[in-house]
Amino acid sequence: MRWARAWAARVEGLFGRGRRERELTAELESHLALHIDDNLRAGMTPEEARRQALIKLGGAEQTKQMYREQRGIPWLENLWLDACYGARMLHRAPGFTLVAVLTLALGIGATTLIFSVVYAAMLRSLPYPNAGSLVWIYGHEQREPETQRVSATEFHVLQRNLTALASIGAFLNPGKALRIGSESEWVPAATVTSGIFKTLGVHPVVGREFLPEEYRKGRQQEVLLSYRLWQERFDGKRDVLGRTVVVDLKPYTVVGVMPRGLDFPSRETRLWMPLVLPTGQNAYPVYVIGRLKAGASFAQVQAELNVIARRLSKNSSFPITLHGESLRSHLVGAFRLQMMVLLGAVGLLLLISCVGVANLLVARLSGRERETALRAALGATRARVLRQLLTESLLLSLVGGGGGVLLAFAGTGVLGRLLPENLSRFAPIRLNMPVLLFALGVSVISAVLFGLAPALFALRGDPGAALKGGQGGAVGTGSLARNGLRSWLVATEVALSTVLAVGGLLLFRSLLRLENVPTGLRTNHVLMLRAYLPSTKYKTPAEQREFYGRLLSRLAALPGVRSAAFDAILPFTGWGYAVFDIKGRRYPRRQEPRADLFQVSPGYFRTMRIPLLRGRTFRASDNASGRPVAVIDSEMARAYWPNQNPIGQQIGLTKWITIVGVVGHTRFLNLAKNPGPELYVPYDQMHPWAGGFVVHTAATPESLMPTVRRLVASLDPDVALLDLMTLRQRIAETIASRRLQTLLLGLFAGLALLLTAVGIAGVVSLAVSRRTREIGLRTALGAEPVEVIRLVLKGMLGVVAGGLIAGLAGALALSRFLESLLFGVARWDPASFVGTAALVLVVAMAASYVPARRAARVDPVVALREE
Amino acid sequence: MGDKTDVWQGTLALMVLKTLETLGPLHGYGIARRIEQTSGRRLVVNYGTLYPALLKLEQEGAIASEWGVSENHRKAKFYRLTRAGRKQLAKEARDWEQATAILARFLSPEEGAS
Repeated sequence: MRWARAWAARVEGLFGRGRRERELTAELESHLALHIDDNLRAGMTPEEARRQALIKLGGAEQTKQMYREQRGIPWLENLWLDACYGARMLHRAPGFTLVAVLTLALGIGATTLIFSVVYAAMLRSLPYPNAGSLVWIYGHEQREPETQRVSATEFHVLQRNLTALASIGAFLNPGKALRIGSESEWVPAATVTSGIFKTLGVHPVVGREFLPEEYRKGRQQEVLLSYRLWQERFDGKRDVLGRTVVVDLKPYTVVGVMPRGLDFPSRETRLWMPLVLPTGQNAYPVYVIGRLKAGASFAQVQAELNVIARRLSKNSSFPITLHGESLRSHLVGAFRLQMMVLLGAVGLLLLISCVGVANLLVARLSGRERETALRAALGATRARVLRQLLTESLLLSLVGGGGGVLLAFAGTGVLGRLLPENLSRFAPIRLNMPVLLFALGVSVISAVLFGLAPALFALRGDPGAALKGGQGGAVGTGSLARNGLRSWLVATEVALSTVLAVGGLLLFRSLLRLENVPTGLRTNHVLMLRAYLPSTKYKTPAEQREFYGRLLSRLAALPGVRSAAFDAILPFTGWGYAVFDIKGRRYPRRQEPRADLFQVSPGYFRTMRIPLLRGRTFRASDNASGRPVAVIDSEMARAYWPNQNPIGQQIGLTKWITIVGVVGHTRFLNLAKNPGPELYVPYDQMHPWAGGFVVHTAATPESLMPTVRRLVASLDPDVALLDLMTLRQRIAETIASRRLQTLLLGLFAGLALLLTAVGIAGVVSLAVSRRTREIGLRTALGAEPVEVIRLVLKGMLGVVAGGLIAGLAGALALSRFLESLLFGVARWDPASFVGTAALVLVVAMAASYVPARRAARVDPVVALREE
Repeated sequence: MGDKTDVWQGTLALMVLKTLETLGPLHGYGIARRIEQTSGRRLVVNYGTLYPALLKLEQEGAIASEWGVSENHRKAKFYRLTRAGRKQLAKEARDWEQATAILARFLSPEEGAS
């Protein structure tokens, strides 16, 4: 405790300096007076008495200094002095300070921005109690790795057999038509089994959860509201409990309100209703979440899932695998790699900005060589000078960091709007305390990174030589080495920005390839919509079919519409598949043929411009009473009837169907992945899964949206209109995150090149100013300006080429981390590497050219007279 | 910060505390003189080094100070021992005795020979 008290006293000693100083002077004066009195008594002359007393005290000033050091905290006071001095020095060189601060602000700002995304998505805990023990359980089918759902039958098995879980629940996220009062609105809803809320650990803030009997089949009369819905539609009043809302034309009683901001399953979810899982044949797939038992591990869950999957596979027509992973890693999913790549990229950018500032500092310190030499001559130790220089760097980087945080703050707003759907659930992306601390840490580390080497260099020279050397140490021994250091720094900048540029180009070329990949579909002038028919009103397939037919004929008749067609599942939104037999062939179990299944109206192929290769497409007569027919794509023909005519062949779905035509293959779901065989059936002959429509318009498809909205409302106001958008919009959405990533990486690469150009220009102009005499001499002897420019550029070329080669090699090594993000471009894609090399060379030459030209214009008379 | 050794600082503090215990409240000059006299003039104290030591002790709470008037009517800052200082003195004196006893045994030639 003694030391704590002493330190408290010393901290206090930092303040009230004047009073303490006076008191010390008084005390020492009194000491001397007492001593002089004694000496006088001993018989000395007054002068001698005073002299002896002073000698004995050991010098009043030294004593005072020792006393001061004990009184306060010297290094802290020194730090403050250094900071003040540094601030003055920076203030005196506004150009340098501005460039350095901007450079650092860019590097730190970009790093902070990307870190804030990473923090929001990967480090901040999910908004559920003890969220680390939540498990996302999903099934895998060999065919479609994106399958995330588990069939309801499997869910029942899991519920009974997973012993490593404390609780488990299933849910779906359908849209529902909600009517409160007179207006009907389409809202995202969730249907949940009894285990979900318990598993997540969330409970209503008003009212109660569903009672066990309310989950029973055929009951479904209760509903939970989201906090937002409660606030917006019921003004947050408690009397909402017991009120009736109409969902899909059926009355439901409100029993509770869920907590504010609950983002399960999505932030937009407005309603929760009980989910009753069907069993047996029509068991549709559900999403499953579980919570680990205390002490159980993810590995344990996976082991149990493996056993269950093996057992289930025995009775299944296809192999079933089941997987469990932490809820977070499911939610972050594929974005982990993208985020890591971006984080790596900003890390490089930060390094480049540090190197750039180091470069500026070297130049600046060479101008201050005399100052450091003078300090050394006056007795400052190397450590003391180093500390002073580093304090200055720290000051610079803290100001830069502050600017960076401002930049990042501006960036979060923009980035928040651009984030793809899966990531935006982690929004709002905020600059909270951890992110700010990160920015501070990055600033401090940067200060050391860019400050240390130049400071050490500044201390290397011989103070005597520097003091004698006159202006800026132009002839000092250190200057050659210093130019060497600056060349190294520039080469490093070139190398790092080359790596970034290669990465940016690889992604950019991938994006171009992806955007131009042929889909086999008409993508321009296509409007898509989905009609949701409430099952309480449209009970039978015939009733639904009747409405679809009516809507289709009205759509086709709209002015500005070239053609319209039914397509159960809209392009680039989802998929459905069929397992089928082929007449006359036998396939071993689990190896039955499969194809993506499309339920379409006859006009589909014309509307989507899918070419007919053989036979015919559907006709109006291919209806419920007609002979069952199918159209297949070229891929299916190639897979099952190679070198044969598939027309007339029969395949078995629920009944035998005759193939009547072959059409072109389409990339209907995802630009990046080529799907397998595709099978089309008339929507009149197989009850469609959903009600999608595609419309080929003459004018821009957007202009028809209001008309279509009015049309659907006029046919039946209870029918909800969903996914009204153009196919182009939808395709753009599927690649939005890739586009964003490419944009960001491109931006970072551009900034990196800019910083590098600044560095190169700086080094060249310094080199030129040092060689003014030489250049003047050459000009005087008849050298043409072009030759002078060539001379200057040649000096720089070696440095740039060295950095470029190192950078290309580094990019080649690092590009394997990008490999899975590339499309149609090899990771050693020559065009990207050559393109980068050309770009870097052009930038470097442009940056050197400006100061070189100035050198060429040097007036020889002036240059030679210098010195 | 200087080249005073810890031992010197430590012993100086101990001597200050002991002086104050023996003589009661005293000013800096008096303490310095007393230490010099007690050491039989073998210890030549640079009076200046005393003041940082006094400040340190005061910061630690072992001594307290106030302005007063000396026997020959000079204004002077008087230091006195606090309760914590008394405890510290007792403890440090004990530690010192132990340390010197150990060292003495260590250094005595008879022990080494036997």
